[in-house]
Amino acid sequence: MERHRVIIIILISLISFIGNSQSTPADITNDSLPAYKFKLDYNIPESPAFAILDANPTTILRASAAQEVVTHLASDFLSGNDVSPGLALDFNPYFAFGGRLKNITEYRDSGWKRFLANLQLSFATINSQDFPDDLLFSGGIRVNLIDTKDVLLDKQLGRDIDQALIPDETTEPGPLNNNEQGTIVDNKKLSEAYINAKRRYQEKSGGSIALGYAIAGRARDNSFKTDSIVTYRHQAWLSGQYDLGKSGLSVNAMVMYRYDQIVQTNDNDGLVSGISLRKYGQKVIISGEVYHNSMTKSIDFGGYAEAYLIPNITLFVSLKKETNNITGDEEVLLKPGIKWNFSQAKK
Amino acid sequence: MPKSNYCLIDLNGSALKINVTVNNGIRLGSVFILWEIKNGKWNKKEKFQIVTGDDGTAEFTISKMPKDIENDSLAWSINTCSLIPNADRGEFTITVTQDGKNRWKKLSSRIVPKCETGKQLNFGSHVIFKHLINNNLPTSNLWKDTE
Repeated sequence: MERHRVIIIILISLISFIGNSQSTPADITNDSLPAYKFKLDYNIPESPAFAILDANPTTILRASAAQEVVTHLASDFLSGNDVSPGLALDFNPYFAFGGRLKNITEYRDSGWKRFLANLQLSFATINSQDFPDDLLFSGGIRVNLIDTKDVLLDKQLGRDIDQALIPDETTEPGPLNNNEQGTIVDNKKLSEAYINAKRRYQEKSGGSIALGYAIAGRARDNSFKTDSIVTYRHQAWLSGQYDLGKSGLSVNAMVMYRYDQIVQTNDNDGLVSGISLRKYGQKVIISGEVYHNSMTKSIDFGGYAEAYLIPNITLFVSLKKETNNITGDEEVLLKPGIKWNFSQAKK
Repeated sequence: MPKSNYCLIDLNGSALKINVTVNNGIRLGSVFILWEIKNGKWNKKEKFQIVTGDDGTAEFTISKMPKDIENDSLAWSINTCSLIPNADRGEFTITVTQDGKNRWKKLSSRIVPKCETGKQLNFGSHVIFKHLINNNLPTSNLWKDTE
């Protein structure tokens, strides 16, 4: 348990480091204005590192672009039953470690830059109920191959932002204007531009495809000595998503290959495949999923809801019927949790 | 970073071009005003609204000829925010060019708020145009004369 706390502290430190590596707000002088209430942190995909530890609230993974492409915190801290609590850190390595874009046109025109900008690395640890004496940890990578609904491809949003940024007629810098330091001010037109972008996002039909890979390890008896650490699982998956547009409905499909190096059941490798149906509301997303697990030879299902009620924070809860990999028993699990966009919150 | 807010221009040269750039997909909207001073009072001469758009660059030409803008001040106010998540630091440049030569350049690196938060960074400054002295002979030419 002590080791688990240490890992959590290390992850939180890493989150802070990555956040601060981009922003030393020396040239921001005025940030006392009230925080704005809305941003486009909508439809954030699941954590690849959580997926391999079975800590995600859903099994069928989304294929949408990681719109909050950098620091993103997810956890199951609110677990009130037999669910493993844990912590994941997802971030985009390109921007976090100094990658740059010349302009938006470069993002739109260069598939390579778009690939880098949407790359997602993920690290996680959970305190598993299946291995109470061990620490489970994982790393994952996720690439977005296609996303026709990428908000950065929305030229209208760029135009609306430009229009919002043009100083109004009454703003006239004086002949000896000297505001080198700069001040941060609210701009309602920017907010409206994003509300309109969100509406367009919801009403637009389109699809996305993502590919992911993750590896998981166990530190036996919470020890990090070389002979105590074992890799126990690999998995790779392909997921697709198609949004139907104005109805707010979305269909997801996923096929995943999982290989367990430590034999826990008779079938230690196999496919998990299934579909889910999502309904997107203004502040709530509801979904249901059904999937087949060839390792447990079972068909499982679940329901999921996530709410965007507080800026930077997504609350979610899922109810799943699934078959335990080890015991083979059928279980119904309630998994509540939080996703926290750390890089936004610190501002 | 220029050492001063003074830009030396050739009064007999062509019209001045002002180029504004920003990288990393940061959006920029601005207003530039050309002021002239008469009898100790500043009067507005020209106004330009500039956005750098998707390409992160924009250019405009001051229609008044250089001889007519000596001692004038070009002042600007820039609003900016970041469109790409976490690409929130950008390099801003304002360059005055004349006859293909850079007459003055201002470069600054800034952290800007994300557009999606409904906030913008506002900053600005000014530059005053002064005439470039052309008839100063370089030292080497003076030596040539004595030889």
